[in-house]
Amino acid sequence: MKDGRQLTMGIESSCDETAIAVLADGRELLSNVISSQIKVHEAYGGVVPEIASRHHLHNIPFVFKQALDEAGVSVDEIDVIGVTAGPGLAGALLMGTAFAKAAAMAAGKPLIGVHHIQGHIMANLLEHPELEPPFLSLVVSGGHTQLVEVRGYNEFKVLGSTRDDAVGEAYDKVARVIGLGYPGGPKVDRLAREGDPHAIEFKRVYLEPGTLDFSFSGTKTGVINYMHSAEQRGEHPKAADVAASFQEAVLEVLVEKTMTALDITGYSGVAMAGGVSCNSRLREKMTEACAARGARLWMPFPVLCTDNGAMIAMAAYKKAQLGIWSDLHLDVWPGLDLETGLGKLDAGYDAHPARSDARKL
Amino acid sequence: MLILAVDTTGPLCSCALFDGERARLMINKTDYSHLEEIAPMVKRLLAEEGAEPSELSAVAVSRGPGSFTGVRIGLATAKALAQIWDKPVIEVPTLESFAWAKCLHPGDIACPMFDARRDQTYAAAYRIDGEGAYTELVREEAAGADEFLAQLKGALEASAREAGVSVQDGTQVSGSARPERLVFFGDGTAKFRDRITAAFPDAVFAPEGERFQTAENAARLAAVLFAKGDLKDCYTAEPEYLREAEAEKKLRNHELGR
Repeated sequence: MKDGRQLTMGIESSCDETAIAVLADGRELLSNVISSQIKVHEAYGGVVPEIASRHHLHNIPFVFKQALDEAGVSVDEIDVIGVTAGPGLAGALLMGTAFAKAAAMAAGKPLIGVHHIQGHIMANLLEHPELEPPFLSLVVSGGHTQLVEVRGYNEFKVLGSTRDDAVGEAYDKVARVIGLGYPGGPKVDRLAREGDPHAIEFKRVYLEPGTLDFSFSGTKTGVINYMHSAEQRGEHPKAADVAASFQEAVLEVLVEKTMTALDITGYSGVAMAGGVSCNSRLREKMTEACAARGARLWMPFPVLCTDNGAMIAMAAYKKAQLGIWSDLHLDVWPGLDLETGLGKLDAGYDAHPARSDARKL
Repeated sequence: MLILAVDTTGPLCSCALFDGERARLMINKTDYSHLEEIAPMVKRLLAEEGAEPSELSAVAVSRGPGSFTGVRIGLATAKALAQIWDKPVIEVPTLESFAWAKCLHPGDIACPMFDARRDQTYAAAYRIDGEGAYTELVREEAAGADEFLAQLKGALEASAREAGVSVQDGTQVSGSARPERLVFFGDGTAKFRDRITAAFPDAVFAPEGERFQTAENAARLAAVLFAKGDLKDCYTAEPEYLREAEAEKKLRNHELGR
């Protein structure tokens, strides 16, 4: 508590950013420090889990200090510590969670485990405090592609998910094939602006009628095959056209399925979330589609779309308001399910077979 | 002096308080739930011992080698505690901490061997000279089990030659009132048992209660490092993996698939 304001800290380490933020009264962001490892993993062409974990461990005390310093608060003034406990890379999640647990214990602060996707969705509230559940959300990132019905701040119903690649994953693979390297998302987006989105008609995969699930591996394979046969013919397709056409195929499906989800649920608008929602073409297409039907569209600031601590702080703040706490036994859950898994983070969760014994110690 | 130590590098996670004379160890016998247990255990240890964080001289952490993940859980925990309590961090070499095991007597050789997977071991050897005094015979390393055992044999022969005694099968046969014992520790004792007894038929395996690394041994070694002023802080404390990440090796050898 500082000047009568509730301070929530959010700690995020589920993939390759070590990020910590301090949020006042669930409204004003006092600091939002993000230490990205993109440069480290670039050499490997993707995130290497063991190396990500090693870097998180090194970075986290620096990021913690900077987050407090920039917010101008001391750790004693923090009221709640929130941390991403899943889903994500196990070793990476472990670093934020181990640090958060020890910090919460040492500082005598309550701890709240947060679902990473819940955080991404809650990032919208930082810019749009008026946004209240229920609403529809499209979650698009390197690891996730989901249409989610947000029934409450801590209650979600998954309406559709990818059956193969996440959309960001498909971007990364296509980027590699056309020689852009890692990370694929921003690089494809940038190059696509110089290309013709209808130069090549890559397959749009809608799956069976009525489903809100996604599939991107077919489109991705289409690009790989296209590049391969062009190479055999001795042709050199314009990379910008390939990028723009691939992107158009993928984004068209994302936008159409989102509109179908609005039809089915009857919600008046959609909130975008996750790293891919910074994509400029997606923002453009979604804005057009929503405007055409008079639907509302919420999008976080680009810096709050990719992984950050602010979104975790916001989710933790909402959970604190609902009185949903974790305890110091909090574990990490690399495959944590958004719809059914949230209870695993709550205090008193006792399903882990090892846990009851350990507590008797 | 009051040291809080944590060890999450091996099969059992533990924490200990050591004031220079008396040690209190809290150990969790549930395999591999280190992340869940270590923070609550430290909280309970301090409460049960009536110790205030402000009384601590330093936070000590078993720095590895060991399971990469386990090593990091201990480091992340110690860094957070040290950062918030504003205490120095003592990096404790995990293999060396076995030189403080209670079952050892002067003249014994302590041989901690960890299972490092891929048929390798993280291992070292120390000759116990007296209470809290020992000499490093084999420096900590990641090596094949047979390679380490051969190195140990060589080190024993060399040190015996220096002392002017003869050695058979790694066991000293003359020149000392009490034959030296080779005492093996760590989770490698299960994995490499046959190879150890083939190389050293008289090898002794540490009693079960002392087989694995503990925060108590780490705390005793930490006290010595503390006295020497060998201190780090939450920013500079680093793990000792003894092995680079597989991807780093591949990148160095240009073996990364594109």
